[in-house]
Parts: sequence; C-alpha cells; structure tokens
Amino acid sequence: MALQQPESIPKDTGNRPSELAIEPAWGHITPTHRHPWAQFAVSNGLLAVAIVVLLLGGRLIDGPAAIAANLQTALSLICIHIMLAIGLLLVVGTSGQISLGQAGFYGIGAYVAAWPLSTQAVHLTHPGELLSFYTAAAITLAAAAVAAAIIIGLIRLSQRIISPMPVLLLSVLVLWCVIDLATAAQIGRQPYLVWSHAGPGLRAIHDATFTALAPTTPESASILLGMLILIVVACLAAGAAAGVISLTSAGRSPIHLLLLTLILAVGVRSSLWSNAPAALPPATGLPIFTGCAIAALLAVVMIWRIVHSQIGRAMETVREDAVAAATIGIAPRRQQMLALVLGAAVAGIAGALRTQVQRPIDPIEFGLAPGIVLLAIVVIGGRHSISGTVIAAAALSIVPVVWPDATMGWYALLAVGMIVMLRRRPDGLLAGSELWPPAWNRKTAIRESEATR
Amino acid sequence: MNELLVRAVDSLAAGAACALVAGGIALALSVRRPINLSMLVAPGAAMLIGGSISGICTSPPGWGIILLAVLGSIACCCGIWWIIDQGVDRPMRKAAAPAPLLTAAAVLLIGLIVIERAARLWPMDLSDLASRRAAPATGSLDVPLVGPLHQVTWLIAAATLGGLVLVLTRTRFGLAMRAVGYRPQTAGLLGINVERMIAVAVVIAAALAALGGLLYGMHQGALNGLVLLRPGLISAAAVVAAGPHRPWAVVATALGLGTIESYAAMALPAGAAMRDAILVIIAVVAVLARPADRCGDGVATT
Repeated sequence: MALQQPESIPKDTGNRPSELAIEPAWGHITPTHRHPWAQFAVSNGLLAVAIVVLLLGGRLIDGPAAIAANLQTALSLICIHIMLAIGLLLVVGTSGQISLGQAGFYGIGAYVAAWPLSTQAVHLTHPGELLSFYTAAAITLAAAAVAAAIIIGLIRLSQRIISPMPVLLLSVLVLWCVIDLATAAQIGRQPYLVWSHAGPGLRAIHDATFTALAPTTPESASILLGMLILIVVACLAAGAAAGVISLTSAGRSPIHLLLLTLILAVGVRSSLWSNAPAALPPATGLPIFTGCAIAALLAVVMIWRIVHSQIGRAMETVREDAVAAATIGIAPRRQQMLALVLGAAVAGIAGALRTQVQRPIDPIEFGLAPGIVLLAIVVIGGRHSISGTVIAAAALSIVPVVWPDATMGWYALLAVGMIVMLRRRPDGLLAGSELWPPAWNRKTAIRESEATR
Repeated sequence: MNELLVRAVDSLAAGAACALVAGGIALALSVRRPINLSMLVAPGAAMLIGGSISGICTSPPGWGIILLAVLGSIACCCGIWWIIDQGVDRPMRKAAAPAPLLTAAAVLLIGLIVIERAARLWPMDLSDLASRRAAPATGSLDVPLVGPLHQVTWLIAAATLGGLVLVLTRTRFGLAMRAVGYRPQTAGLLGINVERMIAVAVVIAAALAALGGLLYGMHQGALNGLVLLRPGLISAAAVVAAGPHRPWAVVATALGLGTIESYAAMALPAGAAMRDAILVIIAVVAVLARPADRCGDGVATT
C-alpha cells in the first residue's frame, strides 16, 4: 500500500529554489484579480495624482509670479539632495555596500551634462546638436575602450607565458606612455610612439563624427527634449562609471569598493576642468523646481518599488549572507553591481538637473566630503528606512543650501552625529520603520508575486 | 636628458615617501580590521604640524630643526591616532558589519575638514625644510643630481621599512602582532593582549604615515588640501591594486605608483592639474589588469 502524501507538504515542482512559490506571511491580505490595465491604474494612481499636484503647485515657485529666485534654487537643491540620498540608500541600506563616491557620480553626471553647453556652445534649444555631440563622444569613447580592452586583454593573456608577466608589462606600458608623452610635450612635436598621437587622434575622431552627424539632425526643437537628452546621457555616464568601479571590485573585499570610490571622488573633485567652475550659458527659463521635485518623487517611488521587489529582496539576501544567496540561485556580484549602478544613475540624473539650477557648477560640491556627508544623511535617516532618509536629506540639506559659508562646520557636525547615531541608534531616526503603513509594502510584494505567477 | 634624470630622481624620492605611508596603512590594515580610514589624512596632519614647528624656528632651518619637526610631528600624530583608536574605533570593534566602516568614514570626514581648514587658515610651505634638496631642473651641471634630501628620504624609507620587516618577522613582539592580524580570538586565547597589540600597531602605523607624509611634503613645497591628501590617496590606490592582505606588495606598489604619478605630474603638459586623474586612471587600469592576482594568492573575501 502506497503511503498518501499529506496535503500540507507542497509537491516538488522541479523548479530552481529561487523560483519556488513561498507562501507569504501576510496571508490575511487577499490578492485581488483585476484586469492588468486596471491593476496598473490602481498601482500608479496615487503617483499620477502626486505628479499632477506637483505640476500645479510648482507653478507657484517656477511661474511668472515666482516667489523668489533664491527660494526656487534652495528647494530645487533640496530635491536634488533627496535624490542623491535615496540613490545611496539602495547601495548602503539594501545592498550593504559602502560607497564614498555618490558625490563623484553626481559630479560625473553634472559635468557630462554641462560639457557641450559649456565647451561647444551648444544650446538646450538645439537637441539635435546635443544628440550629435554625445553620439560623437560615444563613438570616440568606444574606439578608445576597444583599444584599451585589446591591450589589457593581451597583458592578461601574457600570464600564460610567465606568471608575473602582467605586472612587468603593465609597469613598462605605463612608464612608456608617460615618458613618451612627456618627451613629445618637451620637444613640441610628436616624434615617437603611438601614445603621443592618442589624444589628437581621439579628438579628430570626435570632430569628424560630430561634423558628419550635425547636418542630419533637426536644428531646433523643444527645450524639454534637450533636457531629456542631458538627463539620459548623464544617467548613462554615471551608471557606466559605477559599472566599471563595480566590475573592478567584484568578488573582492568591501574595502576595495570603499577605497576605489574614495579615489574616484577625489579624482572627480580635483581633476574636472582643472578645478575651474564650469561656465554655463544663462538660465533657460525651464520650470526647474517642478522638474527637480518630480524627478525626486519618481526616484523615491522607483527605489521603494525596487526595495520591495524580488530584486530588492535578492539584494538584501546578498547583504545578509552572500554565500547563502549564491546557493539559492542569486548571483551576488550581479546584485551588488546592479545596486551600485542604479544608485549612481540616480545621482547622474541629479547632476544633469544640477546644471540648470545654479551657475556656475563648482567642483567643490562633488568631492570626498560631500560623499561622506550623503552617507551620514543615510545613516542618520536610517539605512533601512526610505521615509527616514528622505526626511533626513530634506532637513539636513537646508543648512549648506541656505548658508554656504557654514558648510564645513555643518559637515563636521553631521560626521559627529553619524558617529553618535551609529552607537546609540544604529537603525536611524525612525528605527528602520516607514511613515506609511506596512501593508503598502506588502501589497507591492503581493502584486509582484501575482505578476510572477 | 639631465632634466629627465632630475625629474626621475625627484619622483623616486616622492615614491619612497609614499611607500613609507603605504607601509603604515598596510600595517594598520593587516592588524586592525576594518581599515582605519582616518589614517589616510595622517600624512597631511604631519605636514601641517611639521610646517608649524619649523615655521616657529629660525629660517633657514638646520638639520636640528628638521629633526625636531620630524620628531614633533610623529609624536603628535601618534598621540592623535591613539586617541582616535581608543575613543572612537575601539568601542565599534564588535559592532555589526557596516557600522565600523561607517564610523571610520565619519572620522575621515572630520580629519579632512580639520586639515583643509588648517591649511586655509595657516598657509604653509615646506620649501624651507626642503632647501637641502638638489636644485630644480635648471640644467646646470654644478648642481648635484642627487641632493641630501633625496639621500635622506631613501635612507629613512629603506631603514624604517627594513626595521619593520625585522621586527615583524624576527621578534616575539612581531609574531604576536601577526597572530593578532591572522586570528584575533585565537591570539587572545594564547595570552596575547589583543587590544594592546592593535593600539601599538595603530601608533606604529601613524608614525610611519607621519614620517612618510613629512618627507613627501618636503618634496612638494607649498601645501594645500590636495597635497595633504595625496600620499594617503596613493597608498589607497596601492592597497586596491595590490590587495589588502599583502603588505609588502602594497609597499612596492605604492613606490611604483608614487614615482609614476610624481613623474607624470612634472613631465606631462597638464600634469599638475591632472594629478589625481592620473592616479585614478592608474588605479583603475591596475585593478582591471589585476596584477595582484598574478603574483600569488588572489583570495577574494566577501
């Protein structure tokens, strides 16, 4: 007689462990069955209402009867700080990595967006030219990246000959490059090797592509389209920088990422345009506060949904135990990289918006100190609390925005506050909880679980 | 060619100073986990303290004043970092995973602000202390290529790092310190005072970083926020490139990075303005090529 399997034990469906249907702990909330479009409308209705409210309310600040230019700037900068902090929350809180480079990614976004406006005299009202410029830049970068990848690949392959050969080759390569460039600069011509021609060669590729593309693009279009191009490019640039940083530190100790982002932050701060503020054309009359507020709202909602989605839970699993996560089918490196890239992409968007808020852009905003201050804001607000981080970012950003002269003293106070908070209240001001009821997060999880089924 | 050699000699001296700083940071890293990030600003603090001491004294300073400045800055740095270790880091040693690193980041921020403020309020120039360096690149044949300051830098770097090797590998004290670095709990069970060992390691690391920083500053002359931070940054890049668990590879990498960075800054057309970008590029290329993985254990720790 065959033993009957009790009903309470689920049958093995042969799925991978990560795909097993796990009964949610919040069984008292009944999943609803609606048409997908109706579900979409219900899920995003509140967000749409909030955007409409911001569009209408933002007119008071951005419109012709603007309250004051300073207030508009201050509120826009606070929205930008909220975006930066919420992006870092995904990295530090959800993913458990420590990055000091959020302000560096912000700087990359800002300078990439400001680059054509400042150096090429391209105006926002000519999105075609902007697009041509960035396409030319992308082609140039791709050419440089292919060359670099071939060289680095050959160096890595050389280990098959002798184990320490890559070290020797890399040292010789760097010295060769430096001596060649120095000698070429000293003599005033380009006599020797290919490295001396790299800079002018890349510039020639860029100029040729830009010239070839420019006539084929429309002369003028909406200013919003130009701004959208800036935002997308800044987002991609910051995300790509984070991707490179994450690739280089993948599978290594957390100190690697910490130190690499530290070096990146200082490098961005000190080297962009030789420490000179980027001179930008005059303000374009964009409704900038409304734009910043909507972008901040969308960033918060996006991070909230990611945190409470399958991806967010995978990131949390990796944070708690990377080995255990790997055994249930989650790729730890991919999740860590995804968190860093998403956080940096949000910072890049903030940087693109920053170019239109206040002029000029000063590299001092993007150094190591602002990066650590953002970390302090996330810690004080709560590493596991989105609402706490938003409140802390809004409240703690007021001082440097309103009194720029007191910035350094305020930063020192925040650092002390961070130390005290880590000792006395490590979960932050709201103790890791949210301002909204927990059922909201659970509903998000249920919807996602329905969609997966 | 003479100019090339003068730059190379200067760069090699700067690289040796960076190797000293990296030796200190690698020691702190190997014994005290996680890394004491504020150690990155110890060289800058030493430059400011040394500059203050020499500024009080008569100019141009003799070897006695230079010795006083060096010893004074080392003593001050040792005291400051001992207080930081005991007051801030020690209570966080047994805290949950990200808290010690976050605390270290906060202390680094305070250190950055303090040295940047100090450099702005009291602008300093260590060129008086560095007056015993060989003359700059004038092409004159009557100036020796290798000046006394170069010799002193190389000698101090070699003697200090060599002495550190001897202490760590040939004495019971060094054995105890390495044991604390490998397995603190086991070392404690064997009767080693772990906390005291960590404190001693931090003090030695601060002394090395201060000595290296002061020597580096003498080769730079005028001090500003970036010069004060640069030896620490080069050491950080060396740790990233060589791997945090290979102290001697870190020292060698810092020697190479410091030399190349210093040479590039002097020789390239826009080198002075792009110093830190050069450092970032070198660090990223070095990590992409992963030379550390080719030289032995490439153990990944998660």
